[in-house]
Amino acid sequence: MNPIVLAGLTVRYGDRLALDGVSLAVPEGSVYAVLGRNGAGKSSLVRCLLGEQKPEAGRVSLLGREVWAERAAILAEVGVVPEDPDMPPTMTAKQVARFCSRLYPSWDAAGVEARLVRFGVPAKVPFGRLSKGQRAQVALALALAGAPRLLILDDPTLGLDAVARKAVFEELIGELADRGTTVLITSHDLAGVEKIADRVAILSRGKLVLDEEMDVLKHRFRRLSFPAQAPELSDLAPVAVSAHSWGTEAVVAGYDEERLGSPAEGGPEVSALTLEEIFIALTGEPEAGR
Amino acid sequence: MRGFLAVFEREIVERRLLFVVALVLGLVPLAMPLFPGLPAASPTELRNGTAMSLALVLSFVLAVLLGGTVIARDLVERRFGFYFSRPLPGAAIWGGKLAAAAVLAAGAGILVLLPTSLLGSVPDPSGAWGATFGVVLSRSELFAAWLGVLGLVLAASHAASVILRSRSPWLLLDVMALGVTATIAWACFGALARHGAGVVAWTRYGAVPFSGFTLLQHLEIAFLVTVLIALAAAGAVQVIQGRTDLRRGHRALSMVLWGVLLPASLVLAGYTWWFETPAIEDLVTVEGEVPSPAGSWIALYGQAAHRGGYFPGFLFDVGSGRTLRAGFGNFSKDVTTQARFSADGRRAFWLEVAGGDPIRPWVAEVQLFSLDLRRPDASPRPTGVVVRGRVAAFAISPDSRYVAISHTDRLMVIEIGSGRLLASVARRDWFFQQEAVEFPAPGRVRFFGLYSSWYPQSNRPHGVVLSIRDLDVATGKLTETTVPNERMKGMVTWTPGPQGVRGLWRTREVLELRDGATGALVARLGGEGARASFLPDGRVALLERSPEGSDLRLLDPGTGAEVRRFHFAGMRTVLVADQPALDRLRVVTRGSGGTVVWRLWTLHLSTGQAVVGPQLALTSLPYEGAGPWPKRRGRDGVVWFDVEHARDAVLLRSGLPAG
Repeated sequence: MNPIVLAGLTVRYGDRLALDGVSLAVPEGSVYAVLGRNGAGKSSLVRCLLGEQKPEAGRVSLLGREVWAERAAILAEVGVVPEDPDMPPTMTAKQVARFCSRLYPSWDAAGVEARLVRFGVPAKVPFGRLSKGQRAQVALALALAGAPRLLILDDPTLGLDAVARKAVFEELIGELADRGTTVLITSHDLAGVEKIADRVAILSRGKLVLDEEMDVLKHRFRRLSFPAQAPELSDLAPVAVSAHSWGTEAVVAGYDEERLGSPAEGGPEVSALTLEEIFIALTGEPEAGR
Repeated sequence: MRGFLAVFEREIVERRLLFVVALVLGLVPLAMPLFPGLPAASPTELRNGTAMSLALVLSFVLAVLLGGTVIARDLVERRFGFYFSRPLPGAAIWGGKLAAAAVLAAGAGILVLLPTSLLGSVPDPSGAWGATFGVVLSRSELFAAWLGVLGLVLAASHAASVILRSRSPWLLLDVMALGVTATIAWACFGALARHGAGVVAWTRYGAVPFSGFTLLQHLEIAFLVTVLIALAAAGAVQVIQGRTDLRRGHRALSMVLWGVLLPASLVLAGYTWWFETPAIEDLVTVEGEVPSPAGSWIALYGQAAHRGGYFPGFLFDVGSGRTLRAGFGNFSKDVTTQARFSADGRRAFWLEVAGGDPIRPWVAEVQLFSLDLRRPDASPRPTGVVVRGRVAAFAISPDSRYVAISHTDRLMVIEIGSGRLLASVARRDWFFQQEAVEFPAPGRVRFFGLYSSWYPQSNRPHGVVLSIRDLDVATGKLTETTVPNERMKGMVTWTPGPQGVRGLWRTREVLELRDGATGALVARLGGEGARASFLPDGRVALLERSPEGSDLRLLDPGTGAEVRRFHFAGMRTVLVADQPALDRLRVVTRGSGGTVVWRLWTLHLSTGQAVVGPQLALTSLPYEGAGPWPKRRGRDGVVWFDVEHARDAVLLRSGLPAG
């Protein structure tokens, strides 16, 4: 059973289509990254996943149950890190933890405490006085404390500095190694996502334009550098071709090593692409930070 | 439940400082007696009053503030997702937050009262402060009302906050629906109050069973409870369906709120329509009746079934059975409840509340209406006569051109056709328990006012004053005759005869014929139990009973001398029915000794001939009332006897209250 299944999900705000018939399935134990530019529909998708938004059409099921109807029961097995941690500003991390501990069937209070110590987050300082990074770390600690079968992380590193981002991803990697929890993550930190994601989906203007295993994706996307005019590449599914003074450069989505040959044989110079480069090539423009 | 308690506890803990503030505020009343220049009340009452005022103000301010923020502000500041990203049902979130807000508001109010109560003087609304502010509820009732209104304010504040903060186009619908609901409710409750739903009903049979709240108060409470339920349900649905989406929540809230309140308003409107339109058959008592001096019309009013203190008035043609509900009779025991007929019996006149403040009759605007009784298709027509204030008595001149009105602070004479004020005199220092006005002569109005210090339980002699004032319409000059203060036992009544030339003075021990102009004794008619009434031509019909039967004596009003006597041998009861012609009188009689037969007689006054008519199909029942029309009451209600056709006209089928 896939812990997350979306079928024909459509969300509309007035005249604007935020999600247009999105269907996807997240396999159990995988880390599934949903990428997209601002306004691509990621937040709407997460809101639908959490049962906060009722879709105009389509179905969302988490852990085999329809989320709009059974939200509260489902969330007992789901850890959530929101895009902008929204704990009451007057509550301390300790108070929030105590509040949450009453809501989940199992709660690892010691784990929360240990994580907060590890992150260096003061447990008795009101949430409103914590830094953005500390808030995200509190949110992650709380999300992991309920021993969730599923983690939904909505851009958990947004606005964090490099150190805080690293801490978040390291914690996640450790958690995944320990439990094999299924994770759905949206993020603008593509380098971080690249390290942990098994599968990637890309949303563009409300449509799902890619849904693929990370390894397969990275294998079929290559940058080709031709010293002179590039040959006909249509069967390699070029997604970007640019002419330079030194030759031509192309990014292809259907790389075939046998067909092109090695540089020694007169073939192009081939280099692998990062997830960020693939994302830029697919979405057409460099990712703009928020 | 676990989720509800978690949210509830979180809200309480977050705002626990409010309790401390309330406790500190509760110390203020203790210091109040130390402040100079405060009202001259006892220290205890000063403390109690201050404590109760502070408790009320604080709790309602908190209800408004908390109701408007506990959910709506989280939504606007995008912090509501904190709850919805946890395993918390929407109902638990809504319930926990609102319940906590209610406990905070109510708890703060109670804590303000605590120091004063610990000092040994538990604030009591029935004390001097309660009396000052017109509090008529007991402590427990006031506490329940306070909690109810607190809940209402809280829920309303929450709904208003969501509606205003969402800035959605649905706001327009809300404004329109609120306008419609408020208008319907205002109009309905105004109409119900105008018709006496807010009056504790007293009838001639005693008080109508009274639970402590009037019908209007029951309806108002029911409506407020409906509003509270609608607001609470709407708030819950807003959270459960709208979740973190403020606009969708607003939409859900509006649909539930107006989906309940608009139909509820229509139900209220339907009830009000039903309340306002009783048929004559709905009357359960007849509180007053005025027969037309000629023809077969009667004006009567009484209490309508299931309508609280509503005493609708009806014009009823015994001959044809035609009935017409008229606007007199709304106010129990008020002289404006009566209608008047023209001397020829062709027109009926009455006063209706037409504007102003109908709930307070002493400042209401009343208008004279008339109906042409000869035309079957005629409907009531307003005249140009409009006065403001409580009308105590009015009379129509014999030619039906003028009306004399005695109201709150003036005695006035107005031309009916044009509404022109012909004379008006102030009556600020007049206070009477019974009032009447008559036209003794063209251009002259006579006012009668009776003041008696008697009260029902007393058997001691008491002072009685009969004041007679004649107003010359042309000059506006008022001449006054006051019958010296007399001391007597029991209730005293003064019944003016046609045009106020003579009057019947009844005390518990005597019945006298007196002069209408001076109040001087004309003739002593009888002792305790004597019965008499004026005939339309002014003569007096005096009934006397003896072991041999009954005598009907007709007296000359000028001297009180007997002009004719009819003896009904063996008849125990003789009732004057009507005077179809100047020379003819009709009466009904009932035999004694177990005889239950009623007979109709026609008496020829000039010859003294008495012609017995058919035996009547009337069931023997005790005599009731003193009107010229025979009336009886029993299991079936009140039955009027139609003398013209010698048949019963059953007016009131509903049972009468015991009494």
